[in-house]
Amino acid sequence: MRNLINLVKINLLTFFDIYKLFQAKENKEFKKVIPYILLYIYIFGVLTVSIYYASSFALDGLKTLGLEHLLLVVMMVFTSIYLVFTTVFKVNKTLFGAKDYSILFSLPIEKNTIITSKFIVLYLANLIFMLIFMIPTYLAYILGTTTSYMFHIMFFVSFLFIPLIPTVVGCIIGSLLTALSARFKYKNFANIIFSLLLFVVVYYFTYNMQNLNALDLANLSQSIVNKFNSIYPVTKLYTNIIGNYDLFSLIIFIFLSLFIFVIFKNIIVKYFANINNKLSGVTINNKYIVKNIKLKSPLMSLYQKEIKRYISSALYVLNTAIGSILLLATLILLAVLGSDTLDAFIQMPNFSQYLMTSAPLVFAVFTSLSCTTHSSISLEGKNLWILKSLPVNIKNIFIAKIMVNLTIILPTILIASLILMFIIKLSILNFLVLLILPTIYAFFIAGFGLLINLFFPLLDWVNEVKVIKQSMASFLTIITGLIVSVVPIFIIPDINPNKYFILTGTIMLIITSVIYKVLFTKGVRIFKSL
Amino acid sequence: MIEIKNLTKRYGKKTVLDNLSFEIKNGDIFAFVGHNGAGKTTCIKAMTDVIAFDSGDILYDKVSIKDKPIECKKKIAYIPDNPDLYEFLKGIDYLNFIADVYEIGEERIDAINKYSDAFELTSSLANPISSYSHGMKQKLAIISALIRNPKYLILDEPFVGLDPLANKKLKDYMKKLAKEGTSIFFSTHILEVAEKLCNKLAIIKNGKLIVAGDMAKVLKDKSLEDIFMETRDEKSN
Repeated sequence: MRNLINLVKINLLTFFDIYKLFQAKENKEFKKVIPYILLYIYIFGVLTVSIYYASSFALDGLKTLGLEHLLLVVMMVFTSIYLVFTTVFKVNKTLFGAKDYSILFSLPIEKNTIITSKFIVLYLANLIFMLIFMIPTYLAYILGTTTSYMFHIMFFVSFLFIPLIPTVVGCIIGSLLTALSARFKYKNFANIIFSLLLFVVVYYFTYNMQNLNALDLANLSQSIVNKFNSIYPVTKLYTNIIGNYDLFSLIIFIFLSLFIFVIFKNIIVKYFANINNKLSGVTINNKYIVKNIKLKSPLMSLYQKEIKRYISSALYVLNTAIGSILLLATLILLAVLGSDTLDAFIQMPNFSQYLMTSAPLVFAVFTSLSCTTHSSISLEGKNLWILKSLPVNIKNIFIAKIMVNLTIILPTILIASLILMFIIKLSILNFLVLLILPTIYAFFIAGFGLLINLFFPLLDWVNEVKVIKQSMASFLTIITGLIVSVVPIFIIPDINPNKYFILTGTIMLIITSVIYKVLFTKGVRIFKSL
Repeated sequence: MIEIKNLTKRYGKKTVLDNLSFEIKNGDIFAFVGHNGAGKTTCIKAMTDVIAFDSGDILYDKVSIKDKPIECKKKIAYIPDNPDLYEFLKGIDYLNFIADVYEIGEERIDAINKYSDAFELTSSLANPISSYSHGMKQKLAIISALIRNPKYLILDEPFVGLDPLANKKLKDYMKKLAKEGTSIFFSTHILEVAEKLCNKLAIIKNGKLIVAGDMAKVLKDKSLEDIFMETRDEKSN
């Protein structure tokens, strides 16, 4: 037991980077981490307040139907889906393929204890993420309704067990994705395709969930819960626990969650070596002879290396190409289905009309969601010494990273513009605006992401999820990108929007020029000091 | 020639390199010895522009790495103590990447064949680096350094993790390169190797240089191990 507690403690310190706080305190460099702490508190505060107000709003609707308890049930459902998704990408390198296994397995500690500690860390991480979503909803609920002491007991006891099943489901999907991809020669490519398929399945599922003829938010909540009752029986149990304070349901809920968790953990312990080897397996070719080689310039070689880095990670591709994929998918649907069907499909009246009139800025929004550079410095990690010791201009290193981002975005903008031109007749001016404005945004987001990553580098990561999805750099880049692309949409004038687009483009061009100027001066200095 | 002039590096308030000065002439094989945490790796990283330093200078053929880093680095091949290479690349892709950056032409094919055969890595070059053992990564890093035919070869603990054959091959290539005029500078804890292979020596302790010069003059009739043990108890200058 002492070993288990120690292992969990060490893993948690690493997982949440808490050890960095202690190090900073010991080195008397606490001032350096204060901005990070403040920013995290700010993000946490904004999220909590937003969820609280959204919950209060939803609660008012539910009250009219006497279904207020569904508020917590719906939040539990959404949080569970979120936990499954985040666990899918965390499982590799946390549960399987963890770098510390070689040391841990050599210690006189039971294998069961080591693997259990990894599970507990995943569970605790998920529990903390759940806190962020569930507690504001809980507060909105207790302040907006009358509750008995029994409710609080039921809520907090069940709360501790909610993450167990989503953690197991996420582990299974994540392991299957990795195992399936490992069977292919181009396993990274296969991993990207399978992950995309998973995304499509979830999208289709949520689309079906939306297609419930919901008249209002309250009915929608009821429909979501009904739908989930059939596929995730725990939802029904949770509804009974929260709505009826049903002790029997609580016991079943706890027993079921623990049973699934323990069974899964025991299976993993039993077949760990086999699964771990299969997941980390690589295709070995022993018949290589060095023959013809294609020479490249240093810049092209850097670019090719960056492209290979990019496509080597399904997580990186999925999280950064999502804007491009969504844009093309929407436009292809618009071309194939027609505007009326697309509006019905997306469940937004006049969506197509809106898309067409504000297309240059809508393209810009999707462009802003496709930033690869916000993680590109951090992802160098322990390899950074290679770039720093090479005789190349640091500007070229930056340009290679920016070129990767543009390689993802610019063809998308071109294809999307051509598809839209096919759907609606565009004047040459309209077409040029449609092409140029998102292109300026593409240069903006690529340069901005890189600069932000230089200001907030994270080089000592163990799992790249931390860099791509959870780092300060990725968060700030995505938020800023969304603000500068979404806000102008709301103030598009009815008369002569092209002039407005040109004005927006000019302003963005000036901002982008300033960013590149800073990147190639201060950014270079920061890179040297990393 | 490499000239280290009053090199100082601090991490916060701690001075890890304290006013180091020494020279490595063309054709020298220079051993850099010191206890763990003495500042060897920091010095090597500063010499290869991997980290910035606070004061002093490092000159390669009278050219400062501070002022003209690219010009200097074109002549340097550096192998770190822990060869963290790009795991997403195949071995051959990494070698080509390095060769492209150093603008090595078609002659790279012969060089890659020669050195990868010598280190018995040719058959693994098509495999991803992620499948390599520590020793194989070390060999790949060495091959990537040798194909550059460097004027300056700087290595941090190069013999750690190498099998006996690779160990021997590396020592042979170091001698050959030195004969051709390459300056070789490496840190090591293997004192016997340093004693046999090197003509120059520096011992660093707590960031300060305490011994530097010709191996024969420093050793006189003692072994390097004796000298090293004596310096352990001496006060730093």
